[in-house]
Amino acid sequence: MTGNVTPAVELCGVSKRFGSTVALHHMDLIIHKGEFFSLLGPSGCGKTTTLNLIGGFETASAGAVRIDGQEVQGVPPYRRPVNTVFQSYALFPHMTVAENVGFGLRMKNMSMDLRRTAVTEMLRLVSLEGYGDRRPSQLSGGQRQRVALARALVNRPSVLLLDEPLGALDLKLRKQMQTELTRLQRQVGITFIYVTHDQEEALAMSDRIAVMAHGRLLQVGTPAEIYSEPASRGVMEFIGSVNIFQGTVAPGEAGWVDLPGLERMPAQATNLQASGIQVSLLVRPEHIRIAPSGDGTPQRTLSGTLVKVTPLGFVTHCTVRLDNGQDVLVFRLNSVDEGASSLSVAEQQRVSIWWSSADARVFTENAVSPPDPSTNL
Amino acid sequence: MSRVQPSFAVSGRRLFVAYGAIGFGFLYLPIAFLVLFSFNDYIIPSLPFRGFTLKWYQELAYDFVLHEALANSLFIAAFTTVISTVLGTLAAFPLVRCTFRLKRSTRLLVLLPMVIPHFLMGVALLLLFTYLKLPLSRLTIILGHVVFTLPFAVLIVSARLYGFDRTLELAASDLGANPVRTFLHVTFPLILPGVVGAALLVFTLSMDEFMITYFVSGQKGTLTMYMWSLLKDGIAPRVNALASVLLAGSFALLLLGAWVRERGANAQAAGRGRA
Repeated sequence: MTGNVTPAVELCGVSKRFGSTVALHHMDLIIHKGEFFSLLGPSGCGKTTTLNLIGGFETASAGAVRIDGQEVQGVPPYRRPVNTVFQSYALFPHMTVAENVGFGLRMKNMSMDLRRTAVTEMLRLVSLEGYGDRRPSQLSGGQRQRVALARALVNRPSVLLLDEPLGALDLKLRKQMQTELTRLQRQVGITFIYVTHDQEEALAMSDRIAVMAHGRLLQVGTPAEIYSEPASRGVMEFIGSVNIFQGTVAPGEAGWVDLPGLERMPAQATNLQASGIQVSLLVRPEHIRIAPSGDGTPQRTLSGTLVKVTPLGFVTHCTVRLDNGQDVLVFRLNSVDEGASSLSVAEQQRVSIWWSSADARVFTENAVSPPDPSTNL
Repeated sequence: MSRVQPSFAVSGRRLFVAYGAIGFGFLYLPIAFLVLFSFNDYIIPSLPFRGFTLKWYQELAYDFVLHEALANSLFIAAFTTVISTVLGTLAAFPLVRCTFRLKRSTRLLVLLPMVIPHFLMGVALLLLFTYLKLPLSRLTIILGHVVFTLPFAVLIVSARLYGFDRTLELAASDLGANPVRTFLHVTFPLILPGVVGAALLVFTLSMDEFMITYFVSGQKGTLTMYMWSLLKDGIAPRVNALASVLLAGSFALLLLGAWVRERGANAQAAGRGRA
């Protein structure tokens, strides 16, 4: 796509050790110009370390970091063409909003008049016109966030680094700022590198996402690729919710997996090489169909008892206890066509669940599980 | 919430108020009398009050020995303030921010002079200066004052540095400020209230110091030395007037220092807060 254009940021075999702990294992990553790129992973996965290496706040133990094609090893933060929006905003409390935003330009020894024009324009861009004379302490959280953004963007950096910038905001404001950030990024055309542990945020905003765990890159791709074609069990478990079944590849019958104590169920044939090997079958809750037993269901289904139904507005979460005791999570959209068929938890209703082969992914390797799987809702 | 309180609690409260009043009386009554007698129109400072006068204050204006002593004191306090505040600020940075072996012991050693009796320190300094064959002068007084005021400066600036959000320095660096400009534009303005507070306290301490000065002053008398000499011939009302002036000055400086520190702390806390 980008061909021989110099990437905005390039990491070549970058490692980072803190004493005896390894924060990053030999990482290779290319971030294109003008991209909204997210580093996604649980805390401690190395995403902030990666950001600090690009920003110049940490030095790589091995490998090379290039910004605009320039090797930046040993270049201090104040000489790098990048700017950062800190999680805590880090606004200077002794300066006004305008002084905060103009700080970078002042350090470049830009004249007062040019500075004032640039600051005013930038404050307009983040919808904070007329706030120039206020102190950071007089602003709300969302406004401070915008000042931090303006303070970084006004310098026209090659790359803008954002370290969980929405973490301190409440949900509604966060959603609003997500939209605003994407709009701003399109408007200014600057490469954004966005660190977050919030998969929904990453999926909603990014052009591409790098999923990280334990200091390694698990997968790099567009939100759609990451979600529907996860490269590993770890990625699939971290992004969205997932049901996991243990089984063996069915002998002779391509695209089928035997689930012990249950049925023989369909799966993506591409992943199945040898029959008889142990595999994990992963199916997302929204890809599972559910119906009362014997009610025109296909030939091969898993049967169980409906144990919990949680209506959450447009979607209903159903928990089905299979006959082998395993619980399966199923999401049903409360739309016109599906909402009619009644499922009731009260009478311990018998149900059948099934899926199509394209929606069941098979992995043989062990999971690289995130530390806290309960966050994956 | 119910505001009804049992009666024993009320009487207990009264007891505490009375106890507090006695405590404050013990602290401030002597000072109140000192100020009161400085306006008393009688050569011996004793009750009854004979009438209001400002003549003791007027006498101060014609006392040339006093003026020289005051000039000496201001000179010494000014130099002590500059030296102690600069050294104290410089010392506070590594003591708060760096990790090194024996950091706790170092810190303790820096702060220890606060609890060494001034009498002992005076004797020790006199011995040292004699050994070094350093003639007693304003220089030796300044050196003595720096020794005992330095810990206060370190302590006050340290307190400010402990609450310092270092992300602000990272942010400055990120925005293109080299270490020197980061210090000038971000670090120093933010610790300035602490530095000013330290300077005001050091100045006050230096102006009011007697014991160390007594040992290392030689021919050069300070204000406190002069007052001491006046007291040798009985308590002159002039001393009361002079002491009242000094007291007012010290109080004003201390209040100013506390106010500056407080205001700075509030601004810093407000700036860091999250939504």
